[in-house]
Amino acid sequence: MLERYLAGDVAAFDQIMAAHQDRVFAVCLRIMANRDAALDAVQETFITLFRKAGQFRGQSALSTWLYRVAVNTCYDQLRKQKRRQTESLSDDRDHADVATDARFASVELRPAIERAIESLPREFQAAVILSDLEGLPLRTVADVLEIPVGTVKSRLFRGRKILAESLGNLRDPSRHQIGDDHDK
Amino acid sequence: MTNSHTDIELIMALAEETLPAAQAAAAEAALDDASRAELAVQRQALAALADLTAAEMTDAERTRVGDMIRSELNLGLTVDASPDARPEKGQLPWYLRALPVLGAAAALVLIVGIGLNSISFPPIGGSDSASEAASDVTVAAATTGATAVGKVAEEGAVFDRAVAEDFDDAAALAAESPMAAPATTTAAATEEAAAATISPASDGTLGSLMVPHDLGEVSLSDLDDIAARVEKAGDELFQDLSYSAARFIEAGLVCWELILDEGEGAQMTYVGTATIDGTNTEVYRTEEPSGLITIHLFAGPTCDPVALIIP
Repeated sequence: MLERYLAGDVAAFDQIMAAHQDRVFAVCLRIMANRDAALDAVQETFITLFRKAGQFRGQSALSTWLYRVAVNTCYDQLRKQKRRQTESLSDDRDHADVATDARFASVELRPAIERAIESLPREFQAAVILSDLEGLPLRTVADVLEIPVGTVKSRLFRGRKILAESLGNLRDPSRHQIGDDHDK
Repeated sequence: MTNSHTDIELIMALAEETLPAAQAAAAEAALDDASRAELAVQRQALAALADLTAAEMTDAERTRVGDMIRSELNLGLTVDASPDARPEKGQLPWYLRALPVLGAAAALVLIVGIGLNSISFPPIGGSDSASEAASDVTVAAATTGATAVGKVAEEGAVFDRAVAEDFDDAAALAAESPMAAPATTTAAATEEAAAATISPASDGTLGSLMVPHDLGEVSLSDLDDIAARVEKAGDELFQDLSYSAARFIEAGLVCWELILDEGEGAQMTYVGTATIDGTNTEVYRTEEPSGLITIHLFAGPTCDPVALIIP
């Protein structure tokens, strides 16, 4: 389909978008934990895909390549976001405090599991999202993350363990008290 | 029982329920307490993940994202497309729209380049080891200067013709384009730029600074050698080469853009060409703000990555 797009078939663009955008969005939303940021990342992912379409050699499935671009794009944007937040904190303390309060408030309104996923270290998070949430086969996850299948397994195992521990902590009454205070 | 690799796989298989029921029951019965606890943790996490609602885009979001991407790629908006609609400026291929600006930049660089000393790039290949090759480079750089200048001057003439052909091609392409109005402007601009770039230089080294370095015939096994040479060479070897008129052809611009997309704030320079195991390759060098240098080799004109070297 990419070949058709490169040959100038604009319909191929629509077909690729229709086939993949929802799954890319799902991955990005889980990683970024913010709908608007996820939409931006989806946009960036497909722009990269189509611009670099000539690089695709068909050695792996298009979806594998697309997931790889998506995961990298999302983490790249998160990194930039974090950098901007840091700069914002040092530039304007009052403004940053408001933003931080708003962020905590919105975080507390989300289900505990989403917060637990968000708190996962990056390497475990990507494996859990791609495998357990998106249902990709281990081989595909390994190709997307460019790591051996055995490493995917161990990251899943440890990722789930951290997730379960986080859920336990998030259900701790003292943690809920913090959320309640913010809701008031 | 400890969490050995096998145990992890078994616990995961039990948690994911991928084993046949009888086998699973037997395996679970054989687990020790620690493994049972691990299994419970895995099941708890999977159950929590299964509770998550699916993340889906709304129709409005799909339309918005699709339109933004089309706009960015200059594909036009599907909803507004009609067969007899006059094409807008945004639908011109981006490289044609960039031609006037890049043409002017190249003309400026060429004019600045005329009269400056010619530069040469050490030849590559023929040595059995990297260290031997490296010493060859030093010798070649020191002893073949005159030859290199002559060669570069000769290449300059070839380059000169190529510039004119590139501009002619671009002008013809633009003139044939269905986007008549903007294309005419583009053609006029490129002809003007071409006229500026083919002015002869007094020292006979017309455009020599702009000639991409030919790194010669190289084998993939010599990539370290390329890296060493590009690393060793000072920045003066690469100045302004990114505006080489040879980059005006679509493939070059696409490769260029690919590299620019690689890293925010990275400095990219077009080094030249090399033939890697028979494949004509374009060589680029990027430098991150951190100082990390990466050398990219793309097969021209398709821009397929041939190799990425991080010295």
